Amino acid sequence: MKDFAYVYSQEEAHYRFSDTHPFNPIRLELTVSLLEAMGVLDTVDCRAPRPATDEELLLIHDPDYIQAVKLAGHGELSPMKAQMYGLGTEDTPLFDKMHESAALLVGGTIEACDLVLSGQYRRTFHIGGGLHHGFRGRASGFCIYNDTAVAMAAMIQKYDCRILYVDTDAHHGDGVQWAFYNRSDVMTVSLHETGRYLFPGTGMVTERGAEEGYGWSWNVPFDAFTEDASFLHAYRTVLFEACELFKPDLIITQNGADAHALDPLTHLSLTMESYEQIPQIAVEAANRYTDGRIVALGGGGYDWYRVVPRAWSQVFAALTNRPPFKGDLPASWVTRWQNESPDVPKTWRDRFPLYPTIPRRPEIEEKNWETVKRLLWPFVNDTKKEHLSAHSPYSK
Amino acid sequence: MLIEQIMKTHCITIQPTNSIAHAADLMRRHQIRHLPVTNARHELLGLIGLTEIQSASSVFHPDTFLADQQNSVSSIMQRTPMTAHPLDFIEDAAVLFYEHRLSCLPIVRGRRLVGLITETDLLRTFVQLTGALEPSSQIEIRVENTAGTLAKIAGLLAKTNVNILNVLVYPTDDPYVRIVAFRVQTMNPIRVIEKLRKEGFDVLGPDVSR
Repeated sequence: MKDFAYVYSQEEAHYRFSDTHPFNPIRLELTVSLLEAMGVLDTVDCRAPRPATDEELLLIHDPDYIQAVKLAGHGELSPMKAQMYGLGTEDTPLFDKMHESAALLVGGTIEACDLVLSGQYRRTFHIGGGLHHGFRGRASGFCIYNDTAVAMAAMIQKYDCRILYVDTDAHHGDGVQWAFYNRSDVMTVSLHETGRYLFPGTGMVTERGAEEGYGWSWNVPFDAFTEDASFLHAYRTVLFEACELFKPDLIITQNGADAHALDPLTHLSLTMESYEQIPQIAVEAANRYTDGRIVALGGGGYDWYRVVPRAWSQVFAALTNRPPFKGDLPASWVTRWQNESPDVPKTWRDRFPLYPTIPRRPEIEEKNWETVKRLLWPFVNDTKKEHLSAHSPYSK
Repeated sequence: MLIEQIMKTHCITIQPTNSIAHAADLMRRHQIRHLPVTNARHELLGLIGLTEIQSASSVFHPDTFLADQQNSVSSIMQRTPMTAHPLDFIEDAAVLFYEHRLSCLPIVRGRRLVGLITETDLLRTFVQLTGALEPSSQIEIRVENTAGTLAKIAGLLAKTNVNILNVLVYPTDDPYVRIVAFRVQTMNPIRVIEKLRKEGFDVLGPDVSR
């Protein structure tokens, strides 16, 4: 078994709505070029994605919706019908060959999962994946097809396995959650900003799953302005508890990078420190619980230059068994992109102060920890409850 | 909105001659807290809830528990429960729940039981009415309580090609000020918010200090 492969091709850049749309494939190019400049891409295997088949898409999506996306990508869907499917909207405008482009991203995630479950690789990374808002019959939040949901359904069919899905995008992973809400073979864990001021508004602690799936849907909604320490403490606690209870065969992580303080769409206050640690902790969990099997995906992240390339490169670092990259960014990369944007960072860490001091910090930290406890309480025994209460970072 | 749009029509019922033990067993098995009591023609004769069942036997006399439980449902049921008609407004039903502290309301048409609503059904309906279950971004705007404000905001939103899922208007401490909360179907409400702010609207957002 080999250690690591990444799934990528330049054709994935065809999933592109417009120049001004926040979900822009330049994010992939920025990341891959940064890893190239680091000289770390040559030593690992790269697999090109293949498009998902209709049969695969049908595992999650409705046939009429797939048909509508196909027609829309060739200018043959009426605006009225398009609206019904969430297409041709501000979030998911129509573009040429949208079905083919979206199906390629789905195929990439299926490929990334299959490489691991077939035993060829221990860890894979598909930065083009992680479109967690896609619904059964409707586009939502920049997502046409739900690559992760389709891939998980396909893997369960092929390998009869249990999959833990962990989503650290600032937005609630609603599409994936609802797709498996009644099922016990997938556990979804989403850590995100509360829906008070952020799309999609769902993702409350009380959304715990239904029927056979009860207890296998976990949500940690963070208060606006949550910082690194509070986020990471909750993430580590929840991830390890989920692994203990669910005993997955595979961990899939969605690595949206939009909880960073600089992200224009959200209101959390993470820094690069979180993005160094999140994937390291995920790999640690995989080593302990799944024989190292882990698939990492991309996701949101709307500060294209300052946040996303560094964050996703740190995912690469963790998956290739490296400590987080440190120090200066490669000069060649900085020079190349400086022509495109005045914002290009020069170091792996952020420059402080990144944001003004948050007066509510103690209250936010306390509230987040209460949220974690409320999430875990029905599922853990008294000893664990005492342990969690004793280790509350905020009772000191 | 009418009661018939939200009521449960497949209700578990019990007959007046059945035993209390049977009623308790039905509630346990179906995880419910109330049973309408009906006759063979499906006419409503009464209502039995957990409270009635609990009051039928005493914890201080466990020796008589089994015998107590063999009494008939009709011996403990509420004989004149509050009811409503399927064409009543759910707002009115909500007031009934609130004023009489009900937890269950049988729906009756021509003396026959046609459905049931519980406080849980009502709550779910109100949550649905807020639009909170559909993917959307919420935009809250503090406005003066004058005619035409809503139309002005809606006009601005119409120009942005963003679909409005839901609108709620709630009062504040100041009778001249209200908060209008829009749920819009977009992940990127930034442009909409900027447009509203440019027109002088006070758009609320998360605050670092409170």
